[in-house]
Amino acid sequence: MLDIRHVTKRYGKLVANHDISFSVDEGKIAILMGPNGAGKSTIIKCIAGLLRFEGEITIGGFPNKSIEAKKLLGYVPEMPALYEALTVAEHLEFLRRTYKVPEDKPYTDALLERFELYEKRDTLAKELSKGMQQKLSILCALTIRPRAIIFDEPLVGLDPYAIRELTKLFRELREAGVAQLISTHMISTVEDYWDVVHIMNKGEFAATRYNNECHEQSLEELFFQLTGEDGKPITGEKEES
Amino acid sequence: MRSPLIYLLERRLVNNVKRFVRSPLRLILSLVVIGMLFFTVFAGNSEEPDASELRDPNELYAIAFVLYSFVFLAIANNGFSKGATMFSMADVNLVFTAPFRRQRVLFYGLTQQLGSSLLVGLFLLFQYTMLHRTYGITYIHLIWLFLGYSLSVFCGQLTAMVVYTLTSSSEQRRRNVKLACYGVLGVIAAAIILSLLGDRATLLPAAVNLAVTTLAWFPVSGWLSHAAAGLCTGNFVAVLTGTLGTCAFIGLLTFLVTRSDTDYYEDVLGLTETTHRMKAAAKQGGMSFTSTKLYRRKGSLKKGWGADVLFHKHNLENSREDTLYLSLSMLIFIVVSILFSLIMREAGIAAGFSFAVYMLMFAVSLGRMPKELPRPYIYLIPEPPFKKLFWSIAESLPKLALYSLLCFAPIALICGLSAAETVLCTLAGFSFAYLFLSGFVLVERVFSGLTVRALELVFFFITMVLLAAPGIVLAAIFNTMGVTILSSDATIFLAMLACNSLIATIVLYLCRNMLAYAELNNL
Repeated sequence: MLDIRHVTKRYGKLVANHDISFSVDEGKIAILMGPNGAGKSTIIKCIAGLLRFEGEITIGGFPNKSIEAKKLLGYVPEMPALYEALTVAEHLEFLRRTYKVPEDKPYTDALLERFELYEKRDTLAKELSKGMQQKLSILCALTIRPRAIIFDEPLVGLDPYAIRELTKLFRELREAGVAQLISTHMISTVEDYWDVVHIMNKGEFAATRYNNECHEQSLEELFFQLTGEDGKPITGEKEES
Repeated sequence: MRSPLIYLLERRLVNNVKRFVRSPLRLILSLVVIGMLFFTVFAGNSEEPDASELRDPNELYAIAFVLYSFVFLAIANNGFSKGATMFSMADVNLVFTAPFRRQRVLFYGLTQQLGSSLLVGLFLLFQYTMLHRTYGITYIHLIWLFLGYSLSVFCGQLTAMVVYTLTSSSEQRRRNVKLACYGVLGVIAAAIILSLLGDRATLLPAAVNLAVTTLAWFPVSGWLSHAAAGLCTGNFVAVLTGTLGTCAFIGLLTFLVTRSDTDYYEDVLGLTETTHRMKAAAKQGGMSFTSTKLYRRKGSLKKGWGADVLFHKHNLENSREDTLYLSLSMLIFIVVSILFSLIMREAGIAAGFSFAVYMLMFAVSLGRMPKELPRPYIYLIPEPPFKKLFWSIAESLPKLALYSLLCFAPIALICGLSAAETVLCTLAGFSFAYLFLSGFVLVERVFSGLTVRALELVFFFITMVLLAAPGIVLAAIFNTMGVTILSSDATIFLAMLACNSLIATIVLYLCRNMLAYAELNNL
């Protein structure tokens, strides 16, 4: 569903992503991990079609900046980016209409209920707490019923209940065949539902690990081994999938 | 041993200077700004104005009084709602919690606020050419006017903070103080209106006279404009009284804060946190919420399908942010433009029209599109980019048409233009609005990746001037060649109308793919 081939992103002389290649199939959860400044958000923004890049990115077989690809993709940014003068319900209505998704009130209400926003549906986004803004940002991506979804640090700012609901949702989306790419720092929260983890360092993949393979090291141990104090991979070969 | 607060102020200042010197973009910006300042001085002094053609400088000090009063009262009014802060979040976390006396921290805050207030008034220094040729003022006078503006901003902030601190503990007290202040201002406004009622022909001179005599007693703005006028006329008693009055006002307010039982730390905390969140969000491109009051109205998003939902959403957002169709800022721009043309009536339509076009540049930037661009949705929406571009600026077009009608038609009538010329003047004004709107899109297209926002602003002005130039040049050529359709004024308006419309359409066409991707690394 998500296919990233030899993507390089430069900001002047700074190479934020160097020759990144990976894919996320339908019904799979791929995790992007790495220290601050590793290039996770940059590759996510490239996939979302927000940045120019060298290489090729396709979504459902369509170039990522095409209208067909945009219809398939949901994106949850790192910082909630909402409209202060719209209510919670109007955000969802706005996206449903722009994406031309048929009205499905039970589905929308269920989403609102699940993330404890139903009572707040007529509240302006400006009046929401930071955590609620993050929940609404997630619902904005879900309301268009995407076939692929990218989460950039989705768990930051959420309360334990919302974290539990979101992790449950990740599994449900996997069951529904949605391809998911999740960038996170919270290693412990992804331990039990990932299919593939890409550990990034200095704009490159330092390692890729599949969940169906046997490993002696835990994800956390591998992460710290690959992103040692000086930020350079200490051991382990550089891999690309 | 030096006070840590002085050390902090000094290091921040030095590091900011270093930041400018070390960053090529910021250095270019500084050089451009300094170059433009020199240019205005050079251009202003290149031709000494004929003393007989100079306008009464009291007019300028009356304008200064209005400007100072507006900023002082508008900022001070925040004291009745959200208050004011002179502190950053770092101050709250590191200075407020440190073992400093509250008075010292307040002086620290006042000092840094004075510095930021000076920056706010910089735009005045660029008006030298126009002011020197119209009123014959020197650069020393202009610097005094600039200092007066900055001090008005500073006093407004301080007043807001004091009012909030002294009234925040009791809603009743706040209401009473508010009522008293509004009452006094209402009485003064009524007295001004009553004293000006009479012969329309002498309205302007009477208003000017009132502003530089009786209203010179009005706190802060009256004192400061009086001091500025005193410098121009050599009345140093006025300079001294105006300056001392303002200093005493600042001293009194500072005394009130330090002697009051209320804890101003708590009063500034909320607004400091809000300001910090807004700045952080704006920097990171996230929830760049403003402190704009939202007026809840009925109505919801029930129209549109695809890209045109943007248009309906923008209208809904506008109706919640402003009670009137045109925003308060737009209405102020219109009033200021009309007042300017009233003052400059004898100079003909060119002066009033040019100034209104200048103000229009700022009005265009008030549309919703700039607020849409930092968010990811407009790029993610699965619709053709040109369609999204059109619907994202569509909300501005009827607004700017109304703005042009309310602004340019009165200006044309004030300058005695005929009905046909008034229509063409309004259309030419709208063509500039359309041109600037397209210019705005162009600037976002080409310069949106710049990390220095101030540099983007400089490029914005340069772009607007370049886009407007062909129309103005064409009008000048027609005028020189003696080409006349209806009248010479009508010909000039027609030339600008045709040229601006063509250029704006071409620019929008060239930027048609702008919303295919953002190329912003802050989303």
